[in-house]
Amino acid sequence: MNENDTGKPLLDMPEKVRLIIQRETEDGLRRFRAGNFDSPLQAAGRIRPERTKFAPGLFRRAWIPVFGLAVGAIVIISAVLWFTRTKPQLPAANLAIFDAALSDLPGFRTLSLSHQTETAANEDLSPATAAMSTALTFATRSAAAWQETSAPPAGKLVPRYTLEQKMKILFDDKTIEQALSLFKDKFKEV
Amino acid sequence: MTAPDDGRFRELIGYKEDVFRICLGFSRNFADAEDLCQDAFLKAFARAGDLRQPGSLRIWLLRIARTTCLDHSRRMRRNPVDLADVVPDTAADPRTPEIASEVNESLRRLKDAVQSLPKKQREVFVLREYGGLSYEDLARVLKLRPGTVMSRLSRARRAIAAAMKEE
Repeated sequence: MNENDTGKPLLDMPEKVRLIIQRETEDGLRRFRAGNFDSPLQAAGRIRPERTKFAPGLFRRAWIPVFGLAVGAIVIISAVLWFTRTKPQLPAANLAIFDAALSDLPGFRTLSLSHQTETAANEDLSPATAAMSTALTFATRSAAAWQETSAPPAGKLVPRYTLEQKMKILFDDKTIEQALSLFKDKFKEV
Repeated sequence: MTAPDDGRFRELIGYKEDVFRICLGFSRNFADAEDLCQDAFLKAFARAGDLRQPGSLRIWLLRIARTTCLDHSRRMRRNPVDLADVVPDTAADPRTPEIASEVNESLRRLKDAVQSLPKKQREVFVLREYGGLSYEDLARVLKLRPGTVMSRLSRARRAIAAAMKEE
């Protein structure tokens, strides 16, 4: 054998042929190195371009807090929107409903007629509102009378009422209770 | 097919000049050689998941390059190209026109001689003279015994020398 495996000059190959091959190979490699052989393969998605070593860690470190803040903001905004949208809405007060409810009470009508002259301020109010005001005035008076009469003497705890006082107290309590129950029903309807 | 990882891609690309030299030997000009080289790498990337012996990556890649070039030669034989295509780009050639012309003519004759070799001799000749493979690597790429490789190479060299001397 007249050559070895290290690629030394071929002894039985004409020098001219060897030089032609060598020149062709060198020219070709020079042009091959000058071109960008890798880019078509990268474009084909086969190879990802080289990345700097610090970039992935930096991005990872930066994205964790940013992502956390974004998620937190979304959760807070969602909670606020949910609470504001789902908050129970009370029906707006409607004076007409109050008037109608109070007008339906016979006690209020009676009170309104009998005590219309007591308060000049009530003249501008509707009959039902005036009746309510009167009822409250009665209640206040009743409470005051109760305190006067029930001031127990030393050693005695049981108050003493006249029949008229007891009736007034019962009437006032019953009137207020009926009014409140009627309001409750009206609000349920609304 | 399993997609290979980036590390294997990088290792494959590291052999691009070996593959290019072989493609240059099989083809008739630089442009064809570059295209063949790219084809060979695309095939290699597509089959990289099937590689069972990562230690023999280079041999495996050179085998793919050889197959790609032989397929190309077969197609070219059916559709022969103009011999003028063999002449390299002379615009960037720093040599004088006379010398460049003589070199190109010699190159054309060599290419013709290589193309006229039988397939078995041609592949051994190109892999050895262009690719610079050792006899051991030649035997592994071609899956032949080293004795067979050497005898084929010897016959190919004699044929090339005779063809170049005749003209």
